[in-house]
Amino acid sequence: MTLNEAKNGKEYITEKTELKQPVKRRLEAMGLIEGTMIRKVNEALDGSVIFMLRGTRFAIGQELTKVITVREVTASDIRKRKKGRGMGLRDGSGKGIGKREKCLTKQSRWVKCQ
Amino acid sequence: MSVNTQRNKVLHCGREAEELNIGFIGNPNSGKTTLFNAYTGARLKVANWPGVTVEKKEGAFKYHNHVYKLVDLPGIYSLTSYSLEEKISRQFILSDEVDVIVDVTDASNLERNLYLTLQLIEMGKPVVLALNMMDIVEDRGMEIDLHRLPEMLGIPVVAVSATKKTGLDILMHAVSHHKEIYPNTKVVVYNEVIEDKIEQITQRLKEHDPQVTNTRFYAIKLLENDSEIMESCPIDVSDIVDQSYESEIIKEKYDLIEDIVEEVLVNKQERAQLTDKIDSILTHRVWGIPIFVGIMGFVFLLTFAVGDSVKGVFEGWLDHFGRWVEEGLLTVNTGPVLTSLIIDGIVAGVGTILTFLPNIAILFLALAFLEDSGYMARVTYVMNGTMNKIGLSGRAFIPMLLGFGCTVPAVMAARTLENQRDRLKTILITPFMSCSAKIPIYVLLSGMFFGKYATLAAFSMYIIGFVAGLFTAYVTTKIENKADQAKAPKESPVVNQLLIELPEYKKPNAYSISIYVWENIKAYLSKAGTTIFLASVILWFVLKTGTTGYVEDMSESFGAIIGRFLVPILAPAGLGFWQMGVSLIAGLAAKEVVVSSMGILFGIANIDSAIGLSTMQQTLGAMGFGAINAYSMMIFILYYTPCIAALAVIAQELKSVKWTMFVFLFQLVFAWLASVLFYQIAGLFM
Repeated sequence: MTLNEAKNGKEYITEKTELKQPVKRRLEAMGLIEGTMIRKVNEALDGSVIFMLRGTRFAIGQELTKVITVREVTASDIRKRKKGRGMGLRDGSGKGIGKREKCLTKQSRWVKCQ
Repeated sequence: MSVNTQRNKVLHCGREAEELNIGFIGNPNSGKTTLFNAYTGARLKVANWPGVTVEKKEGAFKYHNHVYKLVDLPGIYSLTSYSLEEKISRQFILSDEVDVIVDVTDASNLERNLYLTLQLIEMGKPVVLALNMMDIVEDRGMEIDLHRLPEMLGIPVVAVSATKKTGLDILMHAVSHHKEIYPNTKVVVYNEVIEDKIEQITQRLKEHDPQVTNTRFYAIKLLENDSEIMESCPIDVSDIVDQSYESEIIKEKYDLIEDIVEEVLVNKQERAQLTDKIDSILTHRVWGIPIFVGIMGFVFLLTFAVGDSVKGVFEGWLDHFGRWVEEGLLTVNTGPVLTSLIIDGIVAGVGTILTFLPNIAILFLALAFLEDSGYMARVTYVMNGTMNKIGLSGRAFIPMLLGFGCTVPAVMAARTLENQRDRLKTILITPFMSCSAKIPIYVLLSGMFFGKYATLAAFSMYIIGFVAGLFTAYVTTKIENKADQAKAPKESPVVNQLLIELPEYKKPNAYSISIYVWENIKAYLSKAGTTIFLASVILWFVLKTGTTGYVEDMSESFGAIIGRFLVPILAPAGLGFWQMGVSLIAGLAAKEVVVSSMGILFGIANIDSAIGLSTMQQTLGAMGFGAINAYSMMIFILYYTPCIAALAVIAQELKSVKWTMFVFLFQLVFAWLASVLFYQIAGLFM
């Protein structure tokens, strides 16, 4: 579904966006990328939407809400999220980043690395 | 003292006079200006909405015998070039004018703020991370691992609170020690494909110019297909950069950020619930707009009703002052001409304006509350539907709202709009938002002619001004769309979509509000002391001298001769009196001068007092100038060409003489048409 069809107060995971540059670039820089968890907060009569993204509220116009695709949060998303990454994944020198990053680029954030 | 200086000299090898240029950069609304003010003692405006600072501001302070130059930059989310202020900030920090970057972040919102941080580290310049708003983090019961964060980022991290002025010394200490320490730019390790391409580009750049440093940054920017960097790139890399890797690069950065946040943030909490509660009322689907209208109504009610009651005190003072000056002048025996200049010119012209200070102060106090609480950004969301209908995004509402205070900062605020067309349209309609300088005119004319409906008459000015603004934008958009259709018939008209961050609500800060109000009062006072003073003196000369020299009867003065030229033009609007012509011309200097000029024209030292009002009303009545004429005059003044200061800033922002002339003439013609229309129609009924 698209963001304008989503329900107020519920959390969703973003899928593809069909935004055009330069709005796409701006929203991505703000952290709206594939696999991000967002919460739809409110929708105005004209279709503008307030949503919570990485701890910040944003207001966007209705045309933008129609091109942001989201899906419902599944139980496994929550489980992966709560499990977290834990401490000591890195040793601070940057070693070990490469391997994990490679894995993450192939799949969305919430999916377990094989 | 001298020993100390001696030691410093030795330590710094005689470079003690060296200046260090520090650039403050960070996300919008992260508190850069508050921090800048804390160091430099400046009183730049701060408020709680993204985009308050649109211009870079410089300041200096002394730190251990060194001169540190600080530059406060407009807030940005990333180092791409999306809007005008982003371009300004990026070009500036890429230039040699910055030695050390201080990345000011909102620590209570680390996840989003770190994105810019990673980009800054990749740039390769010395960076120090300032974790601002640490007091909020602690209030929420969160903790940030200040040991682990710098380890993971490879740059020093200092916790500060700009409002409570804590950590300021430590931050500068870190800056002074890291001015020549360049961070490891390989903070984010991308996937093999991208890293491979970065390696290839880096090599090619180094072959081309072995001197070039931060090659990794340019390589990444090239892979992101950044237009500015692509254009300035001296070598061809099109075989390596076969597509835009921007989305992947952004994603990998955010993956790392999520890891960092996971590791350094203890007790990560959902944001305060208070904002959600307030928002459920203020941004309500149905009640959002009525609440906004109610708030603005309340603001103007305060301005006129409460302001007027305080004003009485000021009028009393002015009366006393006028009499005291007159007696003083009599005792020192100044001639009648000089006495007239001082009493009829300066006291009548400048003094009158000062009595409106309470109204002005209350209006700015109310605006400060709106801006500092966090409501300002919400208004863009609430009004977005309405603004879309006239072809603008809700973002354009911020300049309009600021226009109720003063057109100058309002026009500058239009910079935050991404699109040149939207900026022009917004600048065109902002002067229709009745500014504070017009308050004296409304109070005076409506008080004189509308009795108990005076407040209502003044109120109506705001509404018809606002409606005219919306109407103008609507018509302009229609014309634009027609032109577009002629060029490219298939494309449907695009409205630039709203995209704005909504900050957390906060209790307005007493200090920032007092700065805001005081700076505006100071501007008003200094305007009274300069522009209005000068205009009053000039007016006195123009009205007291004629072809025969000093004249007692003003109708023989040069002013009257000039004013009479305008009589035929102004007559259809009910303003066909030479006195009105003179005061309207004078009003181009500053709108308050219209009131000053009436004081001088009708020889009333304290025009705004009860006696002054009735005297003037009688004089005007005898001239045939009644309530309809007064309302027509108010309409004309509401709409006509903004003051010189506003025109200057419009010219500066539009960077076009042609468009500035257009704005000038457009407002003038609009004002004339509207007042003629009103006067002619009202004449039919009266």
